[in-house]
Formats: sequence, C-alpha cells, structure tokens
Amino acid sequence: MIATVARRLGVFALSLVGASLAIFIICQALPGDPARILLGDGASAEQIAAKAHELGTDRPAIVRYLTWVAGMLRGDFGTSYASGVAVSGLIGPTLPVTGALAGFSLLVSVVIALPFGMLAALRRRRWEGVAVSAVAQVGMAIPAFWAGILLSILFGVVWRVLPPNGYIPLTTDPIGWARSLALPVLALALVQAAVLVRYVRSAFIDVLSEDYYRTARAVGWSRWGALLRHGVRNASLSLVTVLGLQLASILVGAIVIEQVFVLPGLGSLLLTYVRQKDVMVIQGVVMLLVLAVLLINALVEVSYVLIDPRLRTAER
Amino acid sequence: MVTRTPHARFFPRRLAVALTALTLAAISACSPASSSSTGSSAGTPTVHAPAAKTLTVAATAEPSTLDMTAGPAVAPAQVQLYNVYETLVKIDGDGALQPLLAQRWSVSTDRTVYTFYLNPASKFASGEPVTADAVAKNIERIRTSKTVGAKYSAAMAVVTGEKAVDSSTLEVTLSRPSNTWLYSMADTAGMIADPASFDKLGTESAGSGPYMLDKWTRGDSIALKRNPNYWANPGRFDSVVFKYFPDPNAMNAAMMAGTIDIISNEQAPDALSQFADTAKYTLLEGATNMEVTLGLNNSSPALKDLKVRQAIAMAIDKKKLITNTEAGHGTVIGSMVVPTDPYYEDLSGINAYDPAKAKQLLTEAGATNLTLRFKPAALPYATAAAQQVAADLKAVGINTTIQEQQFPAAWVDAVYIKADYDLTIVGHAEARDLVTYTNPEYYWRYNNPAFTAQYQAADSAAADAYAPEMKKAAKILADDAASVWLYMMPNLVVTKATVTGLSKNATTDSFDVTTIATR
Amino acid sequence: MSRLQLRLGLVLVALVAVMALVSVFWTPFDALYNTSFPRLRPPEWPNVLGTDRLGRDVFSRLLVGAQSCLVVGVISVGIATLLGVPAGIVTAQLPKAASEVVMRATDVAQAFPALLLAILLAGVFGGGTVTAMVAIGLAAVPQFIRIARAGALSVLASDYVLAARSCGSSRLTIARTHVLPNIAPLVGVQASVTFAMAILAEAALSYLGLGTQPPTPSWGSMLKDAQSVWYGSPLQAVWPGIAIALAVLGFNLLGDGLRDLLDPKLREVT
Repeated sequence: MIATVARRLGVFALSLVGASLAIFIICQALPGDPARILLGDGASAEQIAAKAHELGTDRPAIVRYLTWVAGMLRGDFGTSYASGVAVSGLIGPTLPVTGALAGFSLLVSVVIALPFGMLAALRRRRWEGVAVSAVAQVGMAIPAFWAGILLSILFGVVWRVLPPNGYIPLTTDPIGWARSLALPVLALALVQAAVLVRYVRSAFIDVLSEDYYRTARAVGWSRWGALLRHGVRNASLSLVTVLGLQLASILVGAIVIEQVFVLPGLGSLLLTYVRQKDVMVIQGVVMLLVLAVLLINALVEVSYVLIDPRLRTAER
Repeated sequence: MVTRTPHARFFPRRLAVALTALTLAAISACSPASSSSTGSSAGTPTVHAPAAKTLTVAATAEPSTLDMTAGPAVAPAQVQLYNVYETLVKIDGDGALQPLLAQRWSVSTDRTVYTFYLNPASKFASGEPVTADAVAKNIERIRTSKTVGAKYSAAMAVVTGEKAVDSSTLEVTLSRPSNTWLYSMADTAGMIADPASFDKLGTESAGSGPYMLDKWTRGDSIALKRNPNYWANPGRFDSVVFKYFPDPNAMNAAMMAGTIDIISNEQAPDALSQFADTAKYTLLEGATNMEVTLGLNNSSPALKDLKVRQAIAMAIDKKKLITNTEAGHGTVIGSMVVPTDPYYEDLSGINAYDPAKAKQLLTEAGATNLTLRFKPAALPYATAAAQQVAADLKAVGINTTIQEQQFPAAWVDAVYIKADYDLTIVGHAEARDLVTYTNPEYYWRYNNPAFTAQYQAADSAAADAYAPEMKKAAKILADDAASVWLYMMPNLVVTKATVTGLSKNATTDSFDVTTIATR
Repeated sequence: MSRLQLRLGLVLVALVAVMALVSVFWTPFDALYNTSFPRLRPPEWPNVLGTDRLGRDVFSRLLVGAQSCLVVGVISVGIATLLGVPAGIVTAQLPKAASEVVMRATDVAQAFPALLLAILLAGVFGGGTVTAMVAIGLAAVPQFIRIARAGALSVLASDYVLAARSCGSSRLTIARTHVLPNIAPLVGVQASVTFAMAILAEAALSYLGLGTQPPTPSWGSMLKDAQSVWYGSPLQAVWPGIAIALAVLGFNLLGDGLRDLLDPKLREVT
C-alpha cells in the first residue's frame, strides 16, 4: 500500500513538472514587451532596457523557467510586472474566497444530490424517480453563469433578500459573509447537483442489485434503511471519483461565477491580469489551479486504496 | 519640445473620467481644502458624529500601484489626487485654476518665470512642512526620474530649472512661454509628495492631503482614513472607501442594495432609470475631459486619403450613436476638444453626418469595396460604439472586421505601440490632449507640420491669445478628419440622496472627495 | 425511455441546426448591421422577441447565434476527434511503458479544463472564435485518447483481429478495417457529450468577452449585453439562456440515448 501511494506521488510530481512546462511555454508566446507596455508611450530605449532588466525579462527563457520553478518550491511565485508586488501576496487573499465558494458549492451540491439521487434510484420506475432524472437532465444543461444572473436579479434586486453581489470577509462580519456567498454558492451548486444526481442514482442502482442489499432487505431492513446502512459506503467508491471531477469543474465554474457576483477570488485575479498581460500572475494562478486539479486526482486515487482494501495490493 | 508630449490617455473607461469629474466641480462651494487658499488658519475642526463616518465610492478600474506617476493609467490619481496628494494649484469644476498649496503665484513679463508663494501652514501627513525645497525636488523628480511615466516627464519637459528662494517661495523657469504647463501642475504631474518617501510611493501615502492610505484590499477596495495632521479643514469622513466593480451592472446592483454611496461613473446608462426616485437617489450629469474617439490610422494605405477619412466621418450618425450606446447622454463633438476646455467651440458641423456625400467621396477616391481592420478596446462603451460605427460604415459600403483588444495590454501593444490597425475606439480622458496630434509617432500616425506649428504658437501665445489660437489648431484637425471624435463621455454620477457637494464636471484625473458631505 | 431521450435529443439538435442553417440564408432582419428599429423594444411585431440596445432584432440575433454555437461545437469536437482517436489507437498498440507515459501525459492535459485553457490562450493570442475552438478542442483531446485506446485494446484482443493479424494484415489495415468501425459508436457518444460541453464553454467565454467577436452574435455575449439593460428589458436575459440550455440538453440527450442504444445493459444504470 505504501508502495502504491509512493508511486502515485512520483507520478504526481512528474505531472507537476509537465504542467509547469506547458504553462510556461504558452505564456512565453504572450505578445508585447512587458517593459514597454508598463512604461507607456514615449519611453526611451534606455528606459525600456532598464525596466526589462529590473523585471528580469531580458534573461534567457530557460533561466526564467528555472527561477520561477525554484521560487514556487519555496512558495514564491515571483513578482507581478504590473503592480510590482509579490504574486503570492496577490493570490493569498483570493484563496479564502474561491476556497469557500468551491467548498460550500461542493457541500451543498452533495447535500442536494444524495437524497434526490437515492430517491431517483429507489423509485426509478415511478414518476418521482423519472421526474428527478428529468429535472437533473435539464439542470445539467443550464449554464451556471446564467443561473447566477437570474438569481442575482431575482433575489438581489427584485426581492432584495440577499446581496446581489459583492463579498464581505468572514473576519469583518460573519453573517454578512454567509449572505454574500449564498447566491454564488447556490448558482454553482444547483447546476453541479444536477450532474451529481445522475451519478448518485447510477451508483445506488448498482447497490440495489448487490447481494448484501438483498440480504439486508430479506432480514427486515427497510429500503431506505438498507441503502443508508450498506449502500452509502459501497457507493462511495464511485462517488469519490465523481466528486474529484466535480471539484475540478466547480473550480473552473467559480472563475465565471466570480465575475457574475464580483467576488475577489482567484478567477477575478486571473481575468484582471490577463487583461494586463501580466505573465507572472497568469502563470502563478493557472499553475495553482492546475495543481489543485492534479492534487484532487491524486487524492482520489489514494482514497480508493483507503476505502477499498481489495485494491491495496492490486496494480491499477 | 512639445512634440514629445504624449498625453496618452488610454484610460479605461469612463471611470477614469468620471471619477475625475466629480471631483472638482463643487470645490468653490464648500471645499475644506481649497478654501485654505486664503491662508493659514488651519484646521477648524468640524464636529463629527460619534459613529465612524464612512463614504463608499464605487469605481471601475483598480490601480495596480499607488504611484500616480508610474504609468499612464489614471486609476491611482482618481483615488489620491487632491485627496491624498495635493498640488500647488487646483483645477475647479469649471476648469479654472485655484490656489491650493500655493496661496498665490506670479508670472514674469516674458512669461517664462513663475514664482509660487506657498501656504506656510501646509505640511505633509508626516508632520514635515511643505517647503519650497520639497516642491522643487518633486518637480525635478517628475522631469528627470527614469521611473516616472513618460507622459508626466513630457508635461514637465518645458521646465529648465526650479529654485527655492526661501522656505516658502519657489521660482520655476521655463524654456519658453507655455499656457498648458500650469494646468499640468494642477493635475497628476504636479503632485507634491514628501521627498523622504519618493521610493515608497507605490505602497504608502506621502502626501499633504486630508486623507491617507488606510488599507488596500487588492481585487476589492482601497480605504483611506483621515490625515490627523492635515493643515487645513480636516476631511469630513473617518474613512473613504473606493470599491472596485469591473462590471457596471454589479455596481448598479450594489447601489440598489445600498452598500455604496456613490457610483462615480455610470457605465450602463440604460440602467439609470432604476435610480429615478429623487427621494432616494441624486443623479448628476456633467462634463468630462474624455473624447470617445474613433481613431484612424493616418498612415494606413486606405486612410492616407483625406476623402476616405472625411467619408468615414460623414458616414457616422453621432446622435444615434449616443442614443444607442449611452442612452442619449453625452455631447457630440467635432474635434479633440470638450466643452469645458477654454478654447472650445462647436465644430460638430465639420464633416457632419451625410451618408450620401460619404458614398460620393468614396467613389471619387476610388475606395469602393473597402475592408478595414477595426480594433476597439474591449471596454463596454467602446464595444457598443464599435458595433454602431460598423453598422454605419456598412451602410456607405465600408466593411469592417472587428477584433476587440483586451484593455490595457493587448490594445496598447497592437494599436498604441505598433499601430497595427485601421480603426480603433478608445476614450481619451486626459485634459487638453490636443497635443497628441503634434507627435507623428503617436498611434494616430498623424503628421501635419501646419498643425504642430499652430499648436505651438497657441501654447506660447500671450494668455489672451491662447484660446483663439488654439481654436484654429482644433479646426485644422477637424477639417483634416485626423480622427473621428464621436462624443464627449458624459459624467454620469449617481449618489444616495444624502450625499452633497459633488461637482457635476470631471475636469482632472482626480475623484475629489474633499468637497463631499453627507447629511 | 432511451428511445424517448434519443428522439427528444435529435429534435432539439435538429432545431438548433435548422436555426443555424436558416439564418445563413435568411433572417427576419439583418442581425449584425440593421440598427434601424427603436431600441429596447418589448416583443412586438415585427420584432417578435424585441430589439437590443442598438436597435437590432433579437430574434434574428438568436437565430444567427445558433451558428456560433454549432461552428464552435463542430470544429472543437472535430479537433478533439481527429487528434484524439488516432492517438488513442496508436497508443493501444504501443509497448506497455510507452503507453503508460502517454496516459500520464493525458492525465496532466486533463488538468487543463477547457475554460481555463481558453482563458490562458485568449490572454496570449487574444479572444475570438478561433482561440475558443482550439482551446475547447484541445482540452477534449485526452478524453478521446482514453476512449479510443480503451476501445482499441478490447478490439485488438479479439479473436478476429488475432486471425487477421496471423493472415498478415498490417497494423494500419487492422486499425482501419477492424478498430475504427468498432469504436466509432463509442466515439460518437463521446462527441455528443463533448459537443454539449463545448456549447457551455463557448457561452461562458463569450460572456467573459473572450469568445465570439462583435457584431456577430453569440448566446453568451447576448447574455452579457442583456445584463446591462435587464432593468428595462428583463426578457433579454431569458431568451439566450433558454437557447443555450436547449442546445446543451439536446446534445446530452443524444449522447445518453446513443449510449443506451449501443449498450442495452447500461440502460438501467444511466
């Protein structure tokens, strides 16, 4: 088991190197000389050269790549060209925002999807189950940002029950914080829940045909009772995979939702600095998002081993 | 000298402008700071309610640095000019010069030597007095430092020397008379910072204004707090927060929800109707310095021909454009001049809307079946205007391919630096930016020695000849269809009804909160 | 159930295709340049869905928007298929170690979701339909590699392929005559699901201003525009959203229906 985990970690590290190289190469193609753009019009060649030296953009690409990677290993993502501050200092304050948005969205989507998915599995031939499946199918097709726009207009402006946008830090006002996250979380979670319901349903349909479920039913457990007692743990294996994928897609969805609700998260940071073509910030944020996705994948694989003892010795 | 002055103002949106606008206007009425021009008697403390008083101003573009002179963006100046950093003189809401750090000033008879008499009470937030020597160091920094943005150094290029005669008397010598220089001294290029903090301007406050930096939450807001050492009437608010909304609809929603006090400039004018209730909201509509300009690349093969440029100008229905993109707000203009400029005259009749004549000119020029590369800045007003312009051009037989340029970086690179475009749209928010047409390297690629000569003559002219001479220069541009000036961006401000004291015009880079009060 | 899904999916996809096709030849009014109507009109004849802030006919723009949606979908799915399927088949025939390397590379590539890749590429090359299509297509390649490889592996292990190989058929011939036809249905299902994903990604990108360039309408950018006028014309924030949802629903249903048809065992499960 330890060998499996170690092997997985090695692959994870190699993946990070590959991803960082890919990101760096793409960012090299950014048109325009950062020094020139920063200085504005009328800058002399001498001024531009001095600025390029100050930014370090006059060094060979390989040196810049290695410096960047070496810095990241120490938690230093370099210095923003446009604002002259540490990229990690820009990223830091955005993490609680995007983290809370993504985390709560995942939580809420699971809370919605589990009961409805189980219902859809148990009653799959009755109207309730069909209705749940149909609603989920439609929900999957709705762009999260559209849901966000509609929620913001209805709850925020027409009915005025929740703030239509904006972010209040937890430390400033915990209730305001919760209220400011409510609509964005709902917008993301509803759409994700629709995706999740389908997976929950199929995972539990599998369970329904298993011997242990039938046995439990035979000895007198109710259908829901048997599902909850035996089904959840057994279905969790396939659900963990799905949750991993979900979290990745929630992170990306958060980029757009942050725009709709003007949240100062990682996505807003990325888009702001894409407009300014600030390579260091773009590289850093994308690397962080990719790192998150790779990490989630790795954790999902490791968790298989933990959940299912049969896999502990098996090769994948 | 003047030729290098690049007043680039690609400031993002109207925000800049907008903000700016509000600023000054009302100064004369109630400005605590400017009233000190008469002197001295510093700080009659105003009575504050016991609860902390906060003013929240919604703005669009967040600065990337606090250093107002680091680059061309005006976002740092919106927050800080007049509020955190003061200038020797100040431009009021009508565009006139007023005393600020200088109580008065005089000009030599050959108009090349300016003597400023500083207010002896003035001091920086650090407690150090604002001496003539400190001011001289600031002027020297702007015109010689390598780290200062080119447009600010260019504005000071006419200065040959600055000398502290005594602790409160400063003498500045110019290489030739210049009518525009003193206006520059009243704007961002004239900022006066504590020389001890020159290397920390990007992150700290070192000004003499009524407010200073409290907290900058990147991606969200900049909070100013009252400067306890302010030398004149102190600020009315314990805290002034500039909150940034990249999206205009989000800004409107925040106003509806009551979380902000002022929309510094309304970017979605169609939404103004939701603020029609005068018991709750106040609407101000005034002037800005921003000319929303359809830039023509005068060096591109098709647009070298005067007839083609005139045809483009005549193809565009500017009134309809304002109706469709600004919900009818804004003023049609005919040259790179706005109504608050001292040399304004209505030139919108030159090359005015006449599609039939436009088609005829295109035929005469042999330019039928023209396709132009149209690269507007990806800003809300510019994107909307570009589509309307494309429709108008299509109607006279000119095809366009629109490619929005992300602002600022992509636009600056493709249009501003490389001039790789035929048409573009961006707002030029800087005051008195007629000067850009004297620079053949500027992205208009406009090279007309007759215009440059006229402009320089006007700048050097006696004060009373300044406006008439500059009018002639503006008319040369209009006749030449050097660009198509679509409209003056309106300064549309929405405030809670409890907010008073805002100027309706935006005449500098600043969003001046020193005149604002709340009931 | 699956028949119903398939039929409904086909109907919706056909609807989008018809909208796009018709709009190539005819729309009630010019969707790009006709700004002659009163602006922000409510739905009333002849503007059945009203007009936008520039006075353009919203119904015409909605029709033309179907083109952006389909073009981006077709090209990006095309890119993903043309790159992913051959790569997957080749990978299936590689030695185990080499195959493992390719699969790990697809793992890394899958860590770049379509939208993130598109934002990154838009930052580099500027936004636009081409950037969006390439980014969405590239982001989907890994899934096609996986599906094609898995399918190819099972086909290659089958008796008839072993027989063909012992008769001296070349790898290329085997790939063409046996592997491709057998994995085509799997690829078809994946293409349908990817198409739905591409529509959502294009809409999001256009909403962010990094997708389809004006004045060409896209449903995502129409939503963006609608946001600035919703106070007076709230319905404009509704039509494009419904259009996106129906198109995505259509392709999802089509994919589900196809899969069930191909694999009746799965019918219960999904």
